[in-house]
Amino acid sequence: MNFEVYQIIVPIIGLFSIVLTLKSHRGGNNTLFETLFWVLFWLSVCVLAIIPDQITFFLSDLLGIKDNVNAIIFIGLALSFFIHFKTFVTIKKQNKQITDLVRKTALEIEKLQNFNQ
Amino acid sequence: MIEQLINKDNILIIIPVFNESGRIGILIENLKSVGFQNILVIDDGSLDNSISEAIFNGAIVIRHLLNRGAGAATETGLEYFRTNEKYKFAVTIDGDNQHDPIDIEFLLDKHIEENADITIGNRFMSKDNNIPGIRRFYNFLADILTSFFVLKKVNDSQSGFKAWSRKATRTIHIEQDGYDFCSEVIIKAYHSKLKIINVPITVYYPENYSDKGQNLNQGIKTALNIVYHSLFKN
Repeated sequence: MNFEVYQIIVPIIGLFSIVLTLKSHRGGNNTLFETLFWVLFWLSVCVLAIIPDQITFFLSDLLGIKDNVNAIIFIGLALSFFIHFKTFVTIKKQNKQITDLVRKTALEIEKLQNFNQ
Repeated sequence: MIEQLINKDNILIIIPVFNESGRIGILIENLKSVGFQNILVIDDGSLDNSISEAIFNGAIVIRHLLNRGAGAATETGLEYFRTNEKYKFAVTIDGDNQHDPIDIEFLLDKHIEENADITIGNRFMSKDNNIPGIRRFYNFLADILTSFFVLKKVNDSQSGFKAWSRKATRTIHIEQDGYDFCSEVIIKAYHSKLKIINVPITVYYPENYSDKGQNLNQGIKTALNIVYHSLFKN
């Protein structure tokens, strides 16, 4: 079995990313769900790089897309949009939390100043 | 007429402010000169002398440590109103001195007379107002979008000059931090079946007016936020 260069580099990057994800989980930065998601994501990338034809033909058959490359591009785009949306929602949520905190602090300070007068 | 209907001591004037030094002091003075003594300034993290001007002129000042936007500041003012039962009505007014405080009396007069929940000071009902073209354009787009979500024709959805009843402040909690809160208020009010009326007001835009809230970037952001929140939140 002949390997192309990318079939060696991509799995190395994937494994490196998995190690980083696990370390980040151990440090308490990722939830279990996030860790599982990223580990599965990088494992899929590694498998796809090692046996690209079998996986892409399987996926194109499954999705009914004639060309296996198109199937991969389609899945990649869908995944990318999903991650973008997740990030967008997270930022929105954090913005709301910051506003709530700023409001609560402002009202508490006013109440304290009023109390001291 | 308002004197007969309501005591001005029961009215809380809420002014969200961001960098309005030179204007906020004059506005507070004008408000006091027409008899409104309960003036609440929400300083939204200003970097200029807005706070000192507001304190010097005798307003109650609540300060956001970080700039969060006009919607966030207005909601802070409304939250203060909700917890202070001595006030019967809240009036929100822009901090850039574009509104005439005398209109508050007219606004409240109609508000009480018609038993409204929200009374909007409408800039487009008076033909004498010299509103810049670009502001008219952005307002027109926001009106179309807001009308679409309430299935009713809305005119001047972006006015910050409003009178609020207690019922309205209990029902509506502003979630939009930016300028899109104006549309949010109208959409939520219609969906909650609150009574909304419009009253013509005078508005003044000086020649060197800095159009903080309305530029293309802000306009697109506002439109997207209205769509996003209407689809996913309401």
